Amino acid sequence: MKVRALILTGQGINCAREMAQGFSLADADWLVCHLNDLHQLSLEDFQILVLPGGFSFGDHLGSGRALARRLRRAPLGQAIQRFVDQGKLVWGVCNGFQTLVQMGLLPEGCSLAPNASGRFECRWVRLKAQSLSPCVFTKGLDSLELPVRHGEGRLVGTPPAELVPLQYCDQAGPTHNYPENPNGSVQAAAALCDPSGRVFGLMPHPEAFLRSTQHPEWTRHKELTRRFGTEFPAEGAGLAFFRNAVAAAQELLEPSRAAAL
Amino acid sequence: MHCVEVFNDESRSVLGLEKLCQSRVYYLEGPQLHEVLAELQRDSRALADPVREQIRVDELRSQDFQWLVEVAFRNGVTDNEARVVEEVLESPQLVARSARRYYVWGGPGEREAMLELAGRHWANQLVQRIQVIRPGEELAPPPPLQITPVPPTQSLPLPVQDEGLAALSRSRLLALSVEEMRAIREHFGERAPTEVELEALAQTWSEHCKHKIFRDTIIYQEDGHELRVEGLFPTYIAGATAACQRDWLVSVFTDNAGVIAWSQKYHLVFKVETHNAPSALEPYGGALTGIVGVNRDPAGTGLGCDLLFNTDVFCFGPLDYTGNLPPNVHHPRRLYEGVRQGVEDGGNQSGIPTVNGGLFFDQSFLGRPLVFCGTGALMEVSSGHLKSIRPGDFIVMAGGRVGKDGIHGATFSSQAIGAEAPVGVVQIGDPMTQKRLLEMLGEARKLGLYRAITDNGAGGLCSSVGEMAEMSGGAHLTLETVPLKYPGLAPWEILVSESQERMTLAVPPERWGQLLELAQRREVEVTVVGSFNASGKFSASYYDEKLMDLSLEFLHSGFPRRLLRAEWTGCSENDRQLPPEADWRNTLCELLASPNICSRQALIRQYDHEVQGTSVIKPLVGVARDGPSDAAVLRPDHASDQGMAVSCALNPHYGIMDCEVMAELLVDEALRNLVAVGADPDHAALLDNFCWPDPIGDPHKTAQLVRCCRGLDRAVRAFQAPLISGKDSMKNDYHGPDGKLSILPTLLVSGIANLPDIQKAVSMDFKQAGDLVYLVGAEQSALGCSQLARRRDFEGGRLGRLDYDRASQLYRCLHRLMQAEKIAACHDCSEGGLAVALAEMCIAGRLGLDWDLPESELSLEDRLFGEAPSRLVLAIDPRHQQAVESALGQLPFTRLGRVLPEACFRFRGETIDLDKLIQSWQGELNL
Repeated sequence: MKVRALILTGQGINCAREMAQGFSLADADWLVCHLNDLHQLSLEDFQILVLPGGFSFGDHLGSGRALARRLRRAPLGQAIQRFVDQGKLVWGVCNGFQTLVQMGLLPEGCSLAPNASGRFECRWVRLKAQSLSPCVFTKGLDSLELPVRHGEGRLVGTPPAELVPLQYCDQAGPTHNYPENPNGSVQAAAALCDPSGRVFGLMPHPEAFLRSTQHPEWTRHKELTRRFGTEFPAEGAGLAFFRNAVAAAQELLEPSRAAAL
Repeated sequence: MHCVEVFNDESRSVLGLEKLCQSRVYYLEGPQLHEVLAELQRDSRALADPVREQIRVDELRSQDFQWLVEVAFRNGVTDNEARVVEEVLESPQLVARSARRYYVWGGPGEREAMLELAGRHWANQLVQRIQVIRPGEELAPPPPLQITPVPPTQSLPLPVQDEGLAALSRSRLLALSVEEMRAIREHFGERAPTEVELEALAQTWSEHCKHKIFRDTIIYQEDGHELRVEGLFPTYIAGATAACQRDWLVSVFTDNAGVIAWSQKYHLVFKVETHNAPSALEPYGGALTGIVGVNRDPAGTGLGCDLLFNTDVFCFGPLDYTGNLPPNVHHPRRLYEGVRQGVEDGGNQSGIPTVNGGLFFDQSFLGRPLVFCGTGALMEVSSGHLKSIRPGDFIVMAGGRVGKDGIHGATFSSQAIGAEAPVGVVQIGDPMTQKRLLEMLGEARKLGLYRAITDNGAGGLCSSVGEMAEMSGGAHLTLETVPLKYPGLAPWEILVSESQERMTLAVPPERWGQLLELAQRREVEVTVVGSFNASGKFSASYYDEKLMDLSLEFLHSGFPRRLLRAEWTGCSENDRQLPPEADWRNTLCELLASPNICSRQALIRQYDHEVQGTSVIKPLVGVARDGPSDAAVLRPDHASDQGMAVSCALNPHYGIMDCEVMAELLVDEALRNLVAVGADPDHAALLDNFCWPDPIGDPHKTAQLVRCCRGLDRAVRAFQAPLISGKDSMKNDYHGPDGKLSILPTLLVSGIANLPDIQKAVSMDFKQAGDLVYLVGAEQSALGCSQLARRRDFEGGRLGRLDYDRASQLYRCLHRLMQAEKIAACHDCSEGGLAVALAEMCIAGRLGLDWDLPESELSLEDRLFGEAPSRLVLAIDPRHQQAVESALGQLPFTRLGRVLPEACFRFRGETIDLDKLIQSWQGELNL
């Protein structure tokens, strides 16, 4: 049986299509569902709940706030809590991350504030995965590049280090310098997870780097690999997050295998 | 009324103030407010971030301040934040209004000075009101909305005298000429038109909607010769496209946007609009409505499309302008900030990547900035590009409600800006409402719930229904059924209001129930506001009283054609030489730092160019991701590696010498940019956007317009690159107490093209030390109106000229070489010439260059900084040298030198550090 991901859309969510594409490439089934149609289906049929990036409700009262309020509302709020309690995966990207924070599903006392630059930033950043984190989404990842594009991504609060699965880096390591740390996050945090490692939010966009040709320097990579007779890879580094999510969710479908692990 | 204030501990010291704290404020009214407030006191999360923010109800956050400034929208202005508050709090009949508070310490001593500072930085008093209080003083709550009773619709007998006609047109902001008023009087004969009819005609006949100047007959004189042009549009624009033998043209000049065939599955759709007049008054709202407005053009093309990308091009006065500003003119810096923010909010929130654009500065744009916004889209081949309407189909208005905002936009933009501007024309867009609307319509399209769709833009329902009525042969509107934001609109206001986020549909009666159910599920308002018929009339009633009964024939073709005179006194080119530059290195640095050339990175980074995941060649490329791309490449279909490219070209300075050559140069540049990234020059289409100072009664400006069209026509025919859509804005003048400020005649040429395989796209950054660098295309003298000439106040020299055969061959040859993957980097030579192009390639690749030029009769200034057309720079792997040189064959090319590993730029043995070039290129614009 294939893993099934439920991807929310509507009300200003922008990136459901790219998320769906990522799950297709990771060999999972997915359903893109409008927020207003959620009552028509059962979360029991899914192993991953996805809150994609965008500007839900125009971000007017602070990013993610209005969407979080809708998702906390009965009976959906209870259904999502049950989903989390069952050890299923919840994944928020960018505005979805902001929404998870507002829903209270990520470490208490943390929030996402306007970028230190005071501006919306669209740029590629270097990230390093924290190997001690329980996060199932970043398992096995080391260093990679992804784009950020947000105006409110500065993490405030004091999250435990292991619940920060990804950090903004420069050549030397985690950094607070602009623009490598594009928003001024504490602990150079680009992501947060809950102690189970199964609720995960990040500001960068893995779904925007599914193919190598989405990287800003891909033409150089291609030119140089060709000259040295090596192969230019087709995949982008963001696909690993999808594969990890699908692998972790697969264990829920095959309890015997999970027990053996 | 109650008031909730949301605040945090953060403070800043800006604008010379010692300390400034900001907070958000919501004024709430409603029958069950006590419950809402009680819940907010318990749990503030609906409005505030519990980690960072606190709330206060009905009291100020603090009484400790020097000044408290509150900025709130005036009644009737779109308040997006308040709408979300109403949705979030979910209390019946709740009415919210939003405001901002600024707590100031160490500010100006006088209240007037504080008010002035607040008005300059925090508010636009056209749409917002400002209160300034000291501690202990009270803030007044927002005034209640004044509902005026609807006045009875008048008949307006048209005066016999011309003066009377002119006065009536002026007093009602109709922007109709005396000749047009006479034509209306004759048409109506005995009967006096109602104000609804007169307004409908004024909207439909406005320059903005009918593009009359492009249809008028023009007598053009030059050197004693006379040329009679029977309409610029049919002769040159449509004429040139008709002469293009391209089998991939699907729909040109007929629908809301141009359509070309692209893949088996999708057509490409593209439209560019301007929003100059509204942006001059309220830059944020004007630009925001500009971008969300142009989104609705492709969305209303065929049966609708999926929006793929946005483009934006802005022209402003100098950002560091220190001279006097005439009344009602915002400083270029303020215009820039507002316009940038408006396009950012409109594009980013809608989830449409902004992939290409431009920024141009010239003093002539002080009185009127230019704001071009474009949108590209995918149309499913299977859904087709044709619409049809049958008598009996419902007229359905979908999306936002109608208010007094945006009344007379079309007629207003058809006039010059003066010191007085009507408040109603200013409006603020709502990307969220529009996104809901467009997504719902996408679902409705797939379910076949409507037969035709169009945008409600300029002229409102009057224009959208008036145009759709031609498809069935007539239409009747019941104006009392149109949903309003607030009561009190007169029937004519309902008809012509340009309130945003609305589309008009033709819905078969048997589909209406299904559409209504879908729309309700998606929180989108849809309303039947009339029906189509075959009466030959466009009619309207208001509670059973017939207020409009216009023949479609007269409405659409009844306006009198004018005879315009154009006289060309010759172009100002000459053979004078620019005095030699002392050191090319200083000149290069100066040009790289100049406002029209320097890096736009800070601006580009504020636009999301990645969303939708289609990006292949981004606006910024190279090692440090700061190299300026010539064009954007997208991979629109996630299931295929077929790509498309989008480019633009604009340079009103060339038009100072000759608008005819300017148009040719710009077509060449738009195409060249497409070719530079790997697009197919034989599958490329263009859009024209004219922004002109008023040519009526000015034979010189009219001649410039004729020549511009003629140049466009020549280039389009020669390159066989058809125009598929366009727009013109013809009244870009400011009339102030000290006279008229007119913009330079401006043409924007935008291009889209097919790119057979995105894996073969090429970027402009040098890739590898040792690569050979070539200039392809012929040198010629072209310092006239160049960036260097402008900086030296040098008015002589010549513009470059096109050799179309050679340019076409060159572009095809380059395309073949790129298809064969022989080109490592390619960059267009344009503003600043060859030296600037090479410097940009070095900067983007963080690699050096050692280069030279063979002997020539041209001056060194001309060769380094001249802006001759049809030239590109290539870098190639030395192993491809023979293949590339033999493919170029007899085409003009020059081997310039080699890419260096070390960071220096060396020409004829003289060196400058790459770091110095990078530093210069960051510029001083502070974008």
